[in-house]
Amino acid sequence: MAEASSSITEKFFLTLKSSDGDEFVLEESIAIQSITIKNMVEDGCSSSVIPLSKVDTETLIKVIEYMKMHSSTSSNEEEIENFDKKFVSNSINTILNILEAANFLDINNLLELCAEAVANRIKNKTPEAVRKIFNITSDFTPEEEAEIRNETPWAFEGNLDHSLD
Amino acid sequence: MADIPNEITIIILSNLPVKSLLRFKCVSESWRSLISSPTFELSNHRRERAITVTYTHYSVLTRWSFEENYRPLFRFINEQLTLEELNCPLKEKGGEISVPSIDNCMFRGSCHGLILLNFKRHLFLWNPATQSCTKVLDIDDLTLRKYGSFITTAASWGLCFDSSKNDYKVVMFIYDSVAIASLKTKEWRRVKLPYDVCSMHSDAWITLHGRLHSKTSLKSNYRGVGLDNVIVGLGVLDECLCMTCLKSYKGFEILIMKEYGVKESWTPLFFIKDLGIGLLFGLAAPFIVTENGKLALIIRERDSQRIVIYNPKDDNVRDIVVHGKTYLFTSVITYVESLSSSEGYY
Repeated sequence: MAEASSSITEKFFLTLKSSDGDEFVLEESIAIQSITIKNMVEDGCSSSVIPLSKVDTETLIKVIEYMKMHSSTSSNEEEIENFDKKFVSNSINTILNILEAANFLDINNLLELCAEAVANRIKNKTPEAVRKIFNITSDFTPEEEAEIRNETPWAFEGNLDHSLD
Repeated sequence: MADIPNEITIIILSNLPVKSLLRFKCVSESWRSLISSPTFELSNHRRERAITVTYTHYSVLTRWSFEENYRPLFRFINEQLTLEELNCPLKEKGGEISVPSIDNCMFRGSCHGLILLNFKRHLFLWNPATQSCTKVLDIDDLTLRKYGSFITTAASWGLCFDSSKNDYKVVMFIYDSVAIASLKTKEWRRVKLPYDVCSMHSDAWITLHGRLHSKTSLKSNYRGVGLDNVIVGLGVLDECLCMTCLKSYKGFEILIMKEYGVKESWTPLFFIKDLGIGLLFGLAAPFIVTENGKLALIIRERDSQRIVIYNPKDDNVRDIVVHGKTYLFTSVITYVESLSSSEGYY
């Protein structure tokens, strides 16, 4: 009995290390929203520091902020909704970085939140703006591009957004 | 920004509206092949849309005379509940075909984002999101001879998908008969159904997961429906079947079937005391829940349809208004936006 009750109240902590070498201490119950971390804990590789080589410090701070807000114990629904709204108002580059981290860490609701946010931000943009944001060089010849535009010319009409954020 | 892996690009793309996807095909070869890939799937979240058709009267001064005509006006209702005018899908070489009679252009069903459009005896598959439209079928001579113009007013229609044959089927209920046509073979056949067919021609059909659902077929699947609950409309919300029930004349309950095919999963979403409709209405079908929690419903009255918006915050129901007056539509249909193509069914 004593053992069982102690395991409920006792808090376990994990140390996450960003690609920049910064370490963050986080409650295990919060960190295991990441399936990747959860699997590591279950496999017993969490006793020391967990290196997250694909996540830089700036991004990791945001991800931890998100996980803390979304851990079941502390926050109510309205707070979470407001937090999410503010969270996705970060710059599009920041959200793309978080999206990659969420994919690597396997945090599904963060992945969905960011994917929807990026989609919302780019949906009215010009192809040129999208190329710049995603760092893509077009591999179409001008003739090929004109041909694609001619397939659905109405998709290129209207007030398109040229901005990069 | 470093290069973004394809798996993340796919997740972002799947959240985009079809119009943006068509535009972003020219971003790069890699984006074009991701978007055009047959395995690319759109997320279904917030893709419910409605298309309306109404007729505007117009006069044309030709060289010889002053011609009076009606022109179909297609409008698209998005999740912001604004009306957006669409190009007419029915085109002859050189321009739009004229529609001489108001009854002639009707929506007959929707499946996988494709709308079955009926103009005279012709049936078209139209994807309003990609604006592609293909003539797929004609109503057969036998049916035309037997029922004539009743087809436009008295029949109830549906469109469904037979995944084993990769084929769409058009279903038409008229009086005592059910006619089904395959879009691949173009053949019509008559079938018997395990329901009371006589009551079905006035039924409203909704397609989800390629299958047709009706009030009659649903009643047996809903435990809570007793004598005092009448289903008065079906719809699809966030890829779930939903319905409007008239509860003992106290009001309307909107329920959603959270898990497809599991009748225990019917969950109440809204309760609307007064929908502002008379007792002679034919249908009240829910079709969009907006981001700020409002519900849009199609109300079908005798010979016209209108759209109302219910706001649960102040328990208020209002009509969609265009230029200061309630808009009446000849035909309204809902669909879930998709990249589906109708070209293989020509």
